Amino acid sequence: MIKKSFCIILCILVVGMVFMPATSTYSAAIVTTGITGVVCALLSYYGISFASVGLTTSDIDGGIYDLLVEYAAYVGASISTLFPASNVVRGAASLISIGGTFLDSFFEFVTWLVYRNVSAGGTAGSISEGIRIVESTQIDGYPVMLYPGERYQWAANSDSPWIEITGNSSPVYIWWAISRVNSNWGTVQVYSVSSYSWAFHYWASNGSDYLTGQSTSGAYGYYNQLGNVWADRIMPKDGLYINNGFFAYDIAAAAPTISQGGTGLRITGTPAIPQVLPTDVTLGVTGLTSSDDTVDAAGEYVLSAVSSNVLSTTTINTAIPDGPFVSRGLESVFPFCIPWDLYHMYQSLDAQPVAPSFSWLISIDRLGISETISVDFSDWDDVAAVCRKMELLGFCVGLILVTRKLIRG
Amino acid sequence: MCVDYGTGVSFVDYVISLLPSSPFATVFAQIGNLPYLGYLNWFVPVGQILGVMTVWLAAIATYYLYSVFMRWIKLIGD
Repeated sequence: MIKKSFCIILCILVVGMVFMPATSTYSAAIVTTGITGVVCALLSYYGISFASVGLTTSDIDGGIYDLLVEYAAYVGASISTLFPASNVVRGAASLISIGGTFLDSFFEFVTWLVYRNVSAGGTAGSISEGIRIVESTQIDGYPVMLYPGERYQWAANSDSPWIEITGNSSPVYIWWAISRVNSNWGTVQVYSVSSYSWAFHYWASNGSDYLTGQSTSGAYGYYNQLGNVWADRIMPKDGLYINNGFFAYDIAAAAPTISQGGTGLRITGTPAIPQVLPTDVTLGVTGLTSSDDTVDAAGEYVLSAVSSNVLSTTTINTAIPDGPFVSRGLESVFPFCIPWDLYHMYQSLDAQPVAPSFSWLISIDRLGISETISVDFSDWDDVAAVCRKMELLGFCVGLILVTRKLIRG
Repeated sequence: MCVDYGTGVSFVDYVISLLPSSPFATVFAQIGNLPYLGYLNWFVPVGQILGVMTVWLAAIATYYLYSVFMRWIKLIGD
């Protein structure tokens, strides 16, 4: 009886495994690939952790949290199962660290999302040409995104006390995001500048300009007219990050000079734009048109629903399914879900081992006793590691015995 | 590589859509947010046990597939 039941479950498992690749794919509604999210993903790929991700609002803005949600949907999991040990929530004030084998897959997925935005014959420097990830010689070899043609993307961190941009050309578009250490994203502002000589500083907590003290109430910036020469420094307050940003300038004019003080991800010299695409990424997605793309209120690229497009070819990652996408896989429907439910059940219990540490306050006022008893198991980390190995061996022995019983009937 | 799943997959997808969703998925998703899971994992190697169990399940499934096939060709008895 037990054997028959087990056979039925195994058959369900096998059938599910056979059919799942053909039916379980990624069903996306509107996918937003925000600059913040992609840059965070890129820098995370190189081991940089961010103090906070996403926005505090409920709007999907394309931040890294949204990308993680999209990725989870793509792999048929939930955020909580992907990161059982992490506090990954929208606008989290916690540290998110992406690593391990998950990272490569996630990075490829983000790359795929980005390159979906590319259409053949797109206009240079426009949305239709898409976002390109290039190797930057300005930022110590870190990859950054460039908008082909006129725009320059930077990335920085809290080690950088300022970013200075000078040049003879007028900036036409400035965007950056800041965040406070161990807090949520700060002000994210988008500026569309129609005339030259605008300059922007960060806001002080009272709403005034951080450098000048001038009130910024009702305004998005601070005029800094310097004739035909545009120059300004973007000054983060102490404890703030400039995570990333970009500005655009007149392509006909000379490229501006960007410099950055302090240490960390340095930006020096004059950016050479456009730069060369890395050879390991090939543009091959066709079938999209510029009309498929829009820009949301935050100036971020919004990709159209997958179902409305047909990706005929891609050379980016053949492991990612092409063709029309369907919405559900066998792993999520009853009764085929049972093996995966079993797996997810154990997976939900998986977490990074943490040595138990407790403190008890024993207070007996009548006797004047007030003592705190602390128990910290971290002293026994080595012993615990050995015990875990032994438990694993015992589990394997148990499986062997069960296997023998199953096979013999 | 271009894959066209075609109408066959659409039909399968339609059939699948008639099936009820997993009744356990939301429950397990909430378990992952439990505090002190790290303490549990300090005592019991849940992740490693999970990995071994996955491989073991796959091996058993493969074995039964083979046994079904061998019974079918009368290589072994019932």
